[in-house]
Amino acid sequence: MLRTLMNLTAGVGLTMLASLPAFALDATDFDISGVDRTQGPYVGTLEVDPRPDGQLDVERNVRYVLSGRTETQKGVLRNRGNDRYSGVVRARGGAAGALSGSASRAVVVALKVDESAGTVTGLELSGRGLSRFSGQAQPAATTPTPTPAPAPPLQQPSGETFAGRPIYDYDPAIGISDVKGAYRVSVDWQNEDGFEDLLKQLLNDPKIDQVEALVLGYWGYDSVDSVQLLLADKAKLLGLKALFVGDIDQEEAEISWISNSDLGPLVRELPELELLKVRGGMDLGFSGAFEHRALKEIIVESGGTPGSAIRELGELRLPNLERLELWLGTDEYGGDATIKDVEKILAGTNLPKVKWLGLMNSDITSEIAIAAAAAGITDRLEVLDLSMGTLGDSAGPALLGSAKIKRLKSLNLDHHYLSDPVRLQLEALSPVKVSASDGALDPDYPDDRYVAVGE
Amino acid sequence: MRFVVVGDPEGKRIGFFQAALERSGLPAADVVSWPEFLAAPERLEAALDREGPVGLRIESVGKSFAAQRALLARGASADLGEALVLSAEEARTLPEERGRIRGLRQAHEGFRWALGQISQVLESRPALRVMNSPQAIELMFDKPACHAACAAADVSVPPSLGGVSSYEDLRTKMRLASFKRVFVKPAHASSASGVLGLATDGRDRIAAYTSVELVEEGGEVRLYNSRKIRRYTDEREVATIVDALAPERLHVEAWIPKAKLPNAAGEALACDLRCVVIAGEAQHSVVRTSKSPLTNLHLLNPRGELSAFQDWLGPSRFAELLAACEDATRAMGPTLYAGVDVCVAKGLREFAVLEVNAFGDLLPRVEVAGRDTYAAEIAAFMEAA
Repeated sequence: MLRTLMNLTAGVGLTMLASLPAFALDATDFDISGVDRTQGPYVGTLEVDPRPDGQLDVERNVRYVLSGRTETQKGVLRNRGNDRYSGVVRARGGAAGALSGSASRAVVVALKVDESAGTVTGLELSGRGLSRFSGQAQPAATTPTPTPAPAPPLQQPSGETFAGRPIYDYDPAIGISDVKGAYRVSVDWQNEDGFEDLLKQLLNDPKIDQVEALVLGYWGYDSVDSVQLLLADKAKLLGLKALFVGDIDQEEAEISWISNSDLGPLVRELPELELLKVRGGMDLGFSGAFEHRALKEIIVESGGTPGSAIRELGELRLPNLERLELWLGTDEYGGDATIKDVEKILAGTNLPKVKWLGLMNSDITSEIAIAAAAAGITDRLEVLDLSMGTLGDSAGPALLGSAKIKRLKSLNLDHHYLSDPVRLQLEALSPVKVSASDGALDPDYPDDRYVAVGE
Repeated sequence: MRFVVVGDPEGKRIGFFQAALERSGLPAADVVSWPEFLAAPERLEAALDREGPVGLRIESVGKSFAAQRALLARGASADLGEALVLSAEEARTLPEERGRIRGLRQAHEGFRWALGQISQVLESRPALRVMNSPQAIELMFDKPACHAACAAADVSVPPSLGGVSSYEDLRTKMRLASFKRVFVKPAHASSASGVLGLATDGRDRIAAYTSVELVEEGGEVRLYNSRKIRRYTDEREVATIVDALAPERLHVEAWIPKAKLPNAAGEALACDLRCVVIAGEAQHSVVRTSKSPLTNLHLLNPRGELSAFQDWLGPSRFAELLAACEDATRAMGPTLYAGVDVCVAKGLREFAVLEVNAFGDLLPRVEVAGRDTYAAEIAAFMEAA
């Protein structure tokens, strides 16, 4: 416990009150006494006193919240094995920093410094539960040199991007700090109930109307009515250009387990939306048969997209859509589309500007390929992507004999069930650039065909 | 300085170690093979008695079936209940079956016995120095104890459910703890052997990812390791696998959603970092990426680019990760080196040490300051002399 506090004083560098008097903590002075965690607000700062050798092991991975200035910063508090740190805590009278972190690590959750009485009290959360400590804060022998004023707390991006923008996981305590970023709402597996609250907080952020890209990440397995929440604040989303519903990957949930919803009512209220990306097909819909003039790109990734959703998508009039990527998936996971469900899209009457069409990850790829070879939309395509599916030799003649196919710039047939002779003929379909790698045909079981993502 | 190694003379590790000795201008090490040592521990004494000051290195048992037989035979005297699968005699004459998962705990008991013998040798020879102490190796080969040691040292590890006695027990504990996704690991297995990534939706849907192949024939259940990751969605099959592994002792940890490292091709693959800590310092590292939930190198995953990983995380978080590896290694007790696997959770806000591997230093062709792991270990050992 004492070690944790010493880590804290050695490890956290918040310097907004750098001119105040400093107190050195002597860890040996600590004894247990009461502190009320509910007493606040905690406003404070913690600063580092370098060890005599000048080395500073600054580690961060603890969220410390300075309430009163709704800001959090994340960091790690760690012990480098040297228990001999002394630290300095600076605080305005009666002020403290509050810290929180996951229970798998021992961290200080609250620290309170009473400057006039010279005492330090706090609460510590560890794997063993919550415990208390207190101790004397003594005037420091030397005052550390003041450090420059800190930059405003800029959130670290998540390392992922959407629509060419860094994704930030929205943290209400930081707020929206980069309106050019994509803001993601997602919950942790350890706290699945918080999604709606977090989304509401994001929608109430003063800068929400400047944000152009939103990402709805993991929301738990139960369906969450994000559409209604977003609709309720649609006036704040008039400038939204990019929306990703279901940024949930296999590390969080099986793609086929994602409960989605009818996105039609939402999309028609987002006039500037240029990119819509969706993952997860269960209960997905695009109802409304409306016109949307801003949409340039739609991506639907799923292990099974309902035929009804594909029909609805086909009914949308999208005069400026350039790219449509649609994973149909497999019947086993709700991908019950038949070729009739795709007809409207293939006719292309609602999609006059589409140049890139993907009808992918389908267990009816051969039928789709035959239809696409004769379809109206194919005349204006540069790229046709039939990859990840179950394409077999039966579609060979139609693809090889189609003048429309021969006018494509590229044709993607990766992950197919073609025999070598047919594959070679297709690959020779010059000048079309044909890719037909990842052949999945097992000659012993020619009828065993699986989509690439069917889980 | 002359080295004696207890190891697998046929294995790559010994080859790399000998090559590193040669480059360091040191004589070739004497190798006592594991089957030899297990049959007659005095062979180690004899090797140590030869001339010159000696350093001892304990290496992986390796893949030889002779060593497996010998471990199982030595483990046959342990009181293991259901986990005792073979008598000593049966073990000695066991026909080889490639990939069969059997007697993990019994073999581990044999390994423990051997480490105990080496401890005695070390006690009787105070001047003899060992690279990795038998105690530290034993800890690293006990996943629950290793996890607890890391947690006690404030090293971030995935929350654990502890042990489970059956599939039913597993699901009950998962429900009580609200864990929907877990990794189930045999307590004493190396690499991904017998490991299952189990995803549930908290209700009736499940999917298990594992390299274990289940074979059921005439009421007999057999498990094999394969290089292919299988996905099981039939709960009965998953339960059969877990129940078959349960007597071997299972350790269950939360499945931390791994962050995905974007590569040049625009793909993003789940990744973790294998970092070899030598003499307290994080040194040789490789990023492992995978399309499947299991990222172990043995499963033929491409190595990601370390520099890309570093840029992606940013210098301070990368430094935190390395420091966690150092802390985890320190928590193992006296050990010159260890290979630590650490992952970063999606969102890059949290990270967790997943494994600390006693023999996790096999990173061929990865060099730091012109030295591979073996040369760096030798240099550190000599320096400490």
